[in-house]
Amino acid sequence: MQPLVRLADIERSYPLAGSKVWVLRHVNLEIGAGEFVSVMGPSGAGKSSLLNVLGLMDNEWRGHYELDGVAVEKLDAKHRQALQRDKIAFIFQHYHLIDDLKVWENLDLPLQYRNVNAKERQAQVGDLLDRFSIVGKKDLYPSQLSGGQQQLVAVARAVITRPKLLLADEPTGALHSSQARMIMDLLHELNRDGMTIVQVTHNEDFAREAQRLVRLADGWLEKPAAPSSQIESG
Amino acid sequence: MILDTLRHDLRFALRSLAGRPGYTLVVVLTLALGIGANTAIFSVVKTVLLDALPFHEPNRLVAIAQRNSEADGNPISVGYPTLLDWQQSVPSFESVAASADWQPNLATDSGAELLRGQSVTRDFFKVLGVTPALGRAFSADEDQPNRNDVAMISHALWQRRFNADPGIIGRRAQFGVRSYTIVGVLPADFAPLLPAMRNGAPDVWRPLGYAAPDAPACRSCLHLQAIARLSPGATLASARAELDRLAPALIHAHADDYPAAMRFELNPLRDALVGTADRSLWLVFAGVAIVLLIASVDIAGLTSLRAATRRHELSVRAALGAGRGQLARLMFAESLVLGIAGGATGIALAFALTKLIARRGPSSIARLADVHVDGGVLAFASLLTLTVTFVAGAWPAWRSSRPELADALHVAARASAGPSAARLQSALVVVQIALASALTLGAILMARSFERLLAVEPGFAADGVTTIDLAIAGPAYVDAKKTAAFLAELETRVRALPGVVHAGAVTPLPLSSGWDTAGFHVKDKPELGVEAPEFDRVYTTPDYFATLGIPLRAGRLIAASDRADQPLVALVNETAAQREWAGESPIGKQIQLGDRDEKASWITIVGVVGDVRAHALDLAPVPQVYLAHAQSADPPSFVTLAVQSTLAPALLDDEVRRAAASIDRSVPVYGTTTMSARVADSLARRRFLLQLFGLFAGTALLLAALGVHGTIAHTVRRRTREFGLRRVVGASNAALLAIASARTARCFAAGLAIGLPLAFAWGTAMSAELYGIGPYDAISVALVVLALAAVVVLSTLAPLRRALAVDPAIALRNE
Ligand SMILES: Nc1ncnc2c1ncn2[C@@H]1O[C@H](COP(=O)(O)OP(=O)(O)OP(=O)(O)O)[C@@H](O)[C@H]1O
Ligand SMILES: [Mg+2]
Repeated sequence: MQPLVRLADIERSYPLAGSKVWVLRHVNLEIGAGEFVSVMGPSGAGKSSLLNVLGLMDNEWRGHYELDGVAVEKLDAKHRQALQRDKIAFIFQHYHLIDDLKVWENLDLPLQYRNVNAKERQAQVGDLLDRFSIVGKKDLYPSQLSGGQQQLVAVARAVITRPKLLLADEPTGALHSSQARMIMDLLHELNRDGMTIVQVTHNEDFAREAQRLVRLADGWLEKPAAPSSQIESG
Repeated sequence: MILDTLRHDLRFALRSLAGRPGYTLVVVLTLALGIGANTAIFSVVKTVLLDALPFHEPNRLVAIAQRNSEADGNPISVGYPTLLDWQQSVPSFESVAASADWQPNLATDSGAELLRGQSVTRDFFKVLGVTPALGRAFSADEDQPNRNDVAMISHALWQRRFNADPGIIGRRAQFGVRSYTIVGVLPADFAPLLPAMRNGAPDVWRPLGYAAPDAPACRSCLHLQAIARLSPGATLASARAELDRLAPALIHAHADDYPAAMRFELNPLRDALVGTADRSLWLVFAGVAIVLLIASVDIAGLTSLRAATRRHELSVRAALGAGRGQLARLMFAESLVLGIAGGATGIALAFALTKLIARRGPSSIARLADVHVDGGVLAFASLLTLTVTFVAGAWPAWRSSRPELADALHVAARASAGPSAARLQSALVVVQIALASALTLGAILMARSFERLLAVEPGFAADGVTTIDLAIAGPAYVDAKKTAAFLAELETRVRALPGVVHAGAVTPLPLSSGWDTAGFHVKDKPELGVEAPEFDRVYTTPDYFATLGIPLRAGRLIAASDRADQPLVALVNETAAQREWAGESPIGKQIQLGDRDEKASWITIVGVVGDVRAHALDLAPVPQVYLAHAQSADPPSFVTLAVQSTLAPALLDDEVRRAAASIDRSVPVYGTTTMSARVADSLARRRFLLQLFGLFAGTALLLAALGVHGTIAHTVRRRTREFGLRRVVGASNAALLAIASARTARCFAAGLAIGLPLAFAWGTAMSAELYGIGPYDAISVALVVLALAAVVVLSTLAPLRRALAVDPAIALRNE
């Protein structure tokens, strides 16, 4: 089966006082379509940096990155952005909803950026509000919601474009345990519906709920990069 | 689709601006001030300084005058034969014309009206390029002695006094002593504001009717104001060169009539017209430029800070799929909303302020009444400030790369600008403080000059004095005795009014125009050098000195007994006494004024009176000679009656009118005002400048305050968490204040370090407008530092209070 993501020998460094500081070293990783992968590692290990590369938010890496059959390193900035729009969505520890937009407008925003027409947008936003059971909250501003509700909206906003790859950077990091549980359940549900998910987490239990766990330390990937047997069996 | 998103962006911009009313108000106000105040002041400067004169091909119009010596301040006149020589011998002139003041009475049923008029040479209207609205201009034939009983009238006079009668041409009207046939009516928009005509447009013209060479048409009779139209292709330089060749030839041919150093001076008519207003208006212009700069800097600072604080939001949007263009459009939308609000407010302000300046400005600045909001100027100021708004607002969105944006997403949401935005903001605040300190010093210096001027001892007491102008002219007053008799009778009747203490007449009144100097000759004193000293010649009636409280220093005053048939007497002021007889008493000395003539009678000095600042409060007293009006063979017809009384000016005006009419109803009484008002009027130009510069300084300080406030408020917001942490570990209020205000304090110090030298330069540039004070005045500098310190402290109070109030628990909970 063709993997959705194939990273080969990815390297990323930042210039530091005349030399370089390496944040990703010879990273090789394949992620199959429909997989749910957890990334763990100490602070500063390079987890967020890895998500930036995967999410096409970062263009300054070296190596080979194939996303859904497309060699990313061969694309210019414009096509990379188009690819990102098509395939990728993010959720973050700090939700990052836009304060001055109501709940439904936050959901509407990604569709606007994809030039979906107004009628179609309205329908999709309505569906999603329904599916996430937040219809009653649609005219509230983010500041009027609890942390868990905000993250719920953030997840809804991420998936409204039906991305192939959902990247979650510590999605439960700022939540109380009950709300964290709800978000994890939601991620599982999305994964069951076929979405590929890569989550960064510091929570061992949540990490183990994924099909596969990879660990980063000082920019090095610890486990062998081949898909584990769990995939064949799960 | 683009429109759709633009609509979204605009709606979002409106909403997020409504959620930040402080920021929005500050930017809109800054834009409005930047556009409005500057457009108004710039419009004034442009109309007065830069706009063309309202004549045909105005760039070909020049003013020419005869300069007798380098000491001649600002020569404006010429004699008639010289004018004819220019006409003949200067090919660069297409046509030359001259005018002299003429103030005829127009007798009517309701009393006499004094008209402003001009006697003009035949080509006057041709030079200006004006065609009459009705009838015709003067013919060459009519510009001859005894043939010049024709007149042209203004459109306004035609409507006011002749009911706009279309059959007016050919009718006769009595102007002053003679009757004239009206041959033309000028167009409504004709306003020949020649140098002598600053205070209003004339209403009536007649041909000059001179024949050289007899007086007044003699070469040394310098009383005509000349203008010329340059020939096509001629330049100022070619005309000047021709005049420079002509002058020595004329001196050679008429050695008696011209001093050896005589030369001709030629200037564009506009320069001659705008005259001294020029320099101060350029200062105003510079002030506008500085305020505009401060406003732009302010807007750049505010919008770029705001853009920086939106970095996080931009990052989120980028992660949701927004492209660089879409992000820039978002920022653009906010700038657009701000720009429209600020621009509209600014335009409204521009119109309001322009109207105010045109109405409140002093009449001594020519053409101020013509001022209107200039479209080009408005466009310039708007374009500049709006461009700054757009560029500073949208530039960060363009500039930020995606990795930078990505970084912002993996840390806690924070409303922070990076260190580079903070540095830029600091630099902008330094610039604002520096520029504001220059404008503030300018305003303070002007205020202190004004204060000193108000404290100047004018040499007369204005309190309780009402002044009334009279024109005692006409066929009945050809005999000087009649004039004296009229005046004596009027004074007697006015003095008899209850409440009147003193009444005396003078020509000219202190602080008025119309000064006349005459060569001062002393009997039995050998004259040194070629030219006699020139002293002011003043005519008075006896009670004038008591009326204005001018003290007698030695001898006696002019008395009622100094009649025409008595020996001629004169008074001198202290400056004249000191100048001519230092250490010696002038009493009993004999003098002549004008031409020395050993055979003619001499005037005896009978007294010395105190000095009066007669020309302006800021000019030191000049030597003056007072003559008895009653003894003059050719007394001035225009006299001012000064009355010391307890009566209201309006009431006194009524009474004097009645008294004058009961003696002779053909004598016009006009221009009633108080001496205090005349003093205030004489300061009007300075007061106006002071107000303008006060406006500049106020605007600059306000803008600086907004800038400082923005910076420190931002610092406090950005470092809320840090302050909370410091609180947790036990920082005192003083320690927190020191941290929160450190950057502002540094900006303040740097701003002053740059600003004070700038302020001194600015003060030096405006030194001509200062009185009794220079730019390095210690107190003024201290006031500037104080004013700026106050502005900085006041604008930091609220943010600093917020810094102290940071609750550690709340600040830390965010993380
Ligand atoms: N813009 C940057 N410039 C320089 N170094 C950077 C930059 N961004 C990240 N780094 C460095 O890269 C390394 C990896 O950072 P990254 O954010 O990927 O860590 P992380 O594993 O996500 O840590 P955490 O668990 O704290 O989020 C760190 O040492 C960090 O200091
Ligand atoms: Mg991280």
